[in-house]
Amino acid sequence: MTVNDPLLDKLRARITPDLRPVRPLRPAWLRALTLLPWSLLGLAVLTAMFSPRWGVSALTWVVSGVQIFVAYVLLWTALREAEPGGRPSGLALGLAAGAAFAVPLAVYLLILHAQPRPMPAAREWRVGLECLSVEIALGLPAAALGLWLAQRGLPLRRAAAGALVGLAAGVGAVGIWTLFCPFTSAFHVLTAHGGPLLLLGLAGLFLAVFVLFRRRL
Amino acid sequence: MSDDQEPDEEDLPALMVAYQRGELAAFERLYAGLAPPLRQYLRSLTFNAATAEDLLQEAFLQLHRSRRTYRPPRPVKPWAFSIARNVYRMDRRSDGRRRRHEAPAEEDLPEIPVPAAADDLAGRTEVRRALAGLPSEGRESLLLHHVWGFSFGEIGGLLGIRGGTAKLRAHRALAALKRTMAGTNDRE
Repeated sequence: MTVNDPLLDKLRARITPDLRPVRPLRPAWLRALTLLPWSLLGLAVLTAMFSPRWGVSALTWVVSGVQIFVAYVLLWTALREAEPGGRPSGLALGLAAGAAFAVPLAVYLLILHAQPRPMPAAREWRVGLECLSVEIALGLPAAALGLWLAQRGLPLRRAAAGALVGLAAGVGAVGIWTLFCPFTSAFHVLTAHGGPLLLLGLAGLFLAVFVLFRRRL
Repeated sequence: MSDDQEPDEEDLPALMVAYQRGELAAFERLYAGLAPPLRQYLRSLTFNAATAEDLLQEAFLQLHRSRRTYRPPRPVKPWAFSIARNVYRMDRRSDGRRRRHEAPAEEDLPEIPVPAAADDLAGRTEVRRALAGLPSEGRESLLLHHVWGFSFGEIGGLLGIRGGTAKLRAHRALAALKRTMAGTNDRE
């Protein structure tokens, strides 16, 4: 069957020049761990730039860690989406995307309840812009890294994979910045912390669909 | 196993590893093992033998580009079918607006496989015709399970749905197929 198969002949001609050895991708859970060094680096850079806040409460450390863990799960899910034959269900993707918004919201409500700290009206815009820009600056490299990792696989639902990578970067950035921003005003949290999360999710989605994951077939 | 035979399913992971190392002979053996079921699968998706043949070529090229995404010792077939399905979806997305899937004319029905579970219901042509009339989602799950032997968990991973959903789809499709065949037999 294989000897006189014209399709095999064509494929052989196309494939032979590009038959270099490749190493199989590592499991998605392992590749998603790259988020950990990024988190530590981000924390170190922010600590160097702003005053260290080692005095923050244990609760703040815990909720920061929880958000970084959620970011890890989001990235893991996105990388699984890029593994042919091992794709998560649509429900799992939906739950992951929902968690990207629900967990930071729950963290906010918890901190609002336990350690409320209203924003001084005079500083609202300045602090808001600072939070927004820092979280985006923190999230963009993580999103780029995540998209690169996903792109090495074969993302089948490109939009979902890209959005999850962006949301993972956003939740991770919010998680790290939770250690530095103590304010709990609803407007500040929704715009300066929710804004970057949404923007990074959308950026991941658009980059995945229109730029990175377009594959020649 | 000799080189001119189709490899067994258990041999496929070792062949994939050899292919990832850059061995052309391993690719040829993989082609011998994967091309027949992939061809059938693409025919069952496209209902067009010529289109399926084009997509088969694209599927193998995509398989080559994505060979690093196979992780041994996982089963090779779900991975390869998933790539073939993606090739089909990409093709349909780019082409579908002008060439929507239409129920094929009887004479156009390609040799899509008939599940063993439906083999005794009627003649193969009748079963094929009834299969063509099933909703595509149900038909796909039915064929993947009953023809190519995928577990429902594997079908879930392939289609991006839960295993339970895949099982339900296949079950409903088989029931619909049996109803259709019963109706056909009654009329005759």
